[in-house]
Amino acid sequence: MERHGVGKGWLGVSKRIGAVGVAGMLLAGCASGPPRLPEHSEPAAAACQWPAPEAGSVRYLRQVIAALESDDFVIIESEAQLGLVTAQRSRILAGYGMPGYQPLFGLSGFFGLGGHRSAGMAINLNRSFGDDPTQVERVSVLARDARVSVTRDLQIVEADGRLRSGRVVASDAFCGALHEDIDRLADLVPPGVKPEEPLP
Amino acid sequence: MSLDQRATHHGSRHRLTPRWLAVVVLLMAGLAGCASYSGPPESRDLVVAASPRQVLAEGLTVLIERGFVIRHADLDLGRLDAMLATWPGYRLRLDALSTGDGATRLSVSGYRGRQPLAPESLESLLAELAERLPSQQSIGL
Repeated sequence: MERHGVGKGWLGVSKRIGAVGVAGMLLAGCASGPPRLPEHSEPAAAACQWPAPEAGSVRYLRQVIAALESDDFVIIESEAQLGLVTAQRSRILAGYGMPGYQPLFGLSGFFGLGGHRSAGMAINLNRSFGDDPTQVERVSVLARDARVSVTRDLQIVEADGRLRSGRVVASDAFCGALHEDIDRLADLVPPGVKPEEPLP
Repeated sequence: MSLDQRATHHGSRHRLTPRWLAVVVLLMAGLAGCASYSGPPESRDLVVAASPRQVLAEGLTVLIERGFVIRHADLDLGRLDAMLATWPGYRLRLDALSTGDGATRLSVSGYRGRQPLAPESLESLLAELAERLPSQQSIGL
């Protein structure tokens, strides 16, 4: 009789400890305080920085802009005195709006339809029209002190404006191609244009 | 028999409810505190013996090295807005205003997603920036 009571007591205590533990674990993420800036991420690709004797002049910046625009980018910000250009290009990812592509707690949207398969398909087709996410690509080029550096990121934005994913993708391939474009445009500058003074 | 079973089942369910209610209420109270964490971000300040132009130029170099895309830069206004696309998205704001005697007051603040960044975490960025600029003195907290 007495032993039974003791066992029951222990059961209650362990249950309580369990509940407190679960609550503690769930709240641990909050207790870590305000968010922090990530420390130095992986170093940029080597091709995304290159020396250019002309970098820092307005003429070179014009070449950068021309190269970006020939690549379908739209210039969204520039500060010529600092040698900075930021450009953006976006495209709609056709078909990616289907629920099958949206991770829902790790399951595909086609799971669990069972007998109502046809109804589910109808909804899916509906959603794939006009609800496709947009991929936004942004590039910053800094050309000053005889040095050019490039950053690039990709964001995927849902049709309703939610950000689905974002990452920094300054790849060798992209930067190499941009570098080549800028150099090629240097040859196309009409001979009558005299080189400008580099910025102080 | 089956009625009896149902009755006991009911009883046990009723006995459990208050405990779980308490747990849920505690959880919600705790999480509510997290969700309402907002307000303007605290900034880290630094006074450097350089022109706002120099400060902004070095700021651009440091931010681009770290993978930031510069969303807005204006030398006359003395400010930079930079974004890092790493999930869930970071935003930094850098102000460089002349204090008059050849020095510049530099202040940095930022967000992670929609939450303001802890000012201590901006320390390494400021240190890197200060290294590239002439003598400086750290002020503020």
